Amino acid sequence: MKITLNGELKECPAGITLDKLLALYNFDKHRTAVELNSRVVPRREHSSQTVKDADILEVVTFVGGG
Amino acid sequence: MDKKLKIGKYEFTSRLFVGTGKYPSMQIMTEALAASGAEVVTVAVRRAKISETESLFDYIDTKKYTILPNTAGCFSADDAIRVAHLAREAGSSDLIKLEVLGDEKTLLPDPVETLKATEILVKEGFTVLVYTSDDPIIAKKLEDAGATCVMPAGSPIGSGQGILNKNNLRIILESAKVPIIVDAGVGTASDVTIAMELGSEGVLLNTGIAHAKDPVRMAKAMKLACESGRLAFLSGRIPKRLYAKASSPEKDF
Repeated sequence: MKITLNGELKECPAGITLDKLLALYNFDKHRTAVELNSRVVPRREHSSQTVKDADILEVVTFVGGG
Repeated sequence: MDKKLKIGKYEFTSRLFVGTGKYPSMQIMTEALAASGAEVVTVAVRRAKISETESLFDYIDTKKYTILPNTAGCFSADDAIRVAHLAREAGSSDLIKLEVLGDEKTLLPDPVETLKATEILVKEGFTVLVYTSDDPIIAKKLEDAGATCVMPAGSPIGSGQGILNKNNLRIILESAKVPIIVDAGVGTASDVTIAMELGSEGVLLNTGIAHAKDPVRMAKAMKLACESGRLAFLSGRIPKRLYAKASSPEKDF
């Protein structure tokens, strides 16, 4: 299935959970936050939340700033 | 001994907050942060890069520093609230430096959207440190809306013009019931000292250190300037006089 991950179209296994998806793309799970179709998904739900075809995911982290 | 700086439930000894953007290298940033003596460092929230191996936190010891995420780059209350939610989720803290800008050229805050976002984030339980202009009326409204700390700009972000309107800052300080931290516009050490001498509870700066020719040395200068200005404020300066007053005894030659 195809999802949009941080603006890029990506192929990923159907029914994958968020935590596995984050691991697949090497995101640091400790310092990231995930938005699934414009909803912030709490960390505790990452292992149960599955991703569907055409979902839009935004993964954010902290960068240098003032 | 000075009392600690209290921001809601948080307490700090250092009154200098430092940003983590725009340093020549991560190594220099780490050294500059250490030299500044800062206990609070600001960070921004952005899209994570796929398969990124390096993290900002490889260079910032989160046991040593309190992380203050900002909503920089947001131009509406809704955008800023979204970023605040993401920051809370990524960092697991309720601290947010709220910044809602009105214009890309001036980077001046949008007072209406800033106030709206403050009200909502306060209701949601955030500890809101809010960036604003040096307008005393807006500063008061933000305080009334429940901001934990109000942070007026000395001058526009990254401009290095220092404290442009000392009188406005004095009016803000006179009636403030929450800590006032001067945020933005600091160019050099004396700007920090002036802010602190006037009675600000702290100063937040980034570019003044990060873009100095020697950021680590400038960080030290800012630290000393902050301490110096604070001591002068606590000491109570002499009043300004129009005419001279001799320092040496004038009799008994």
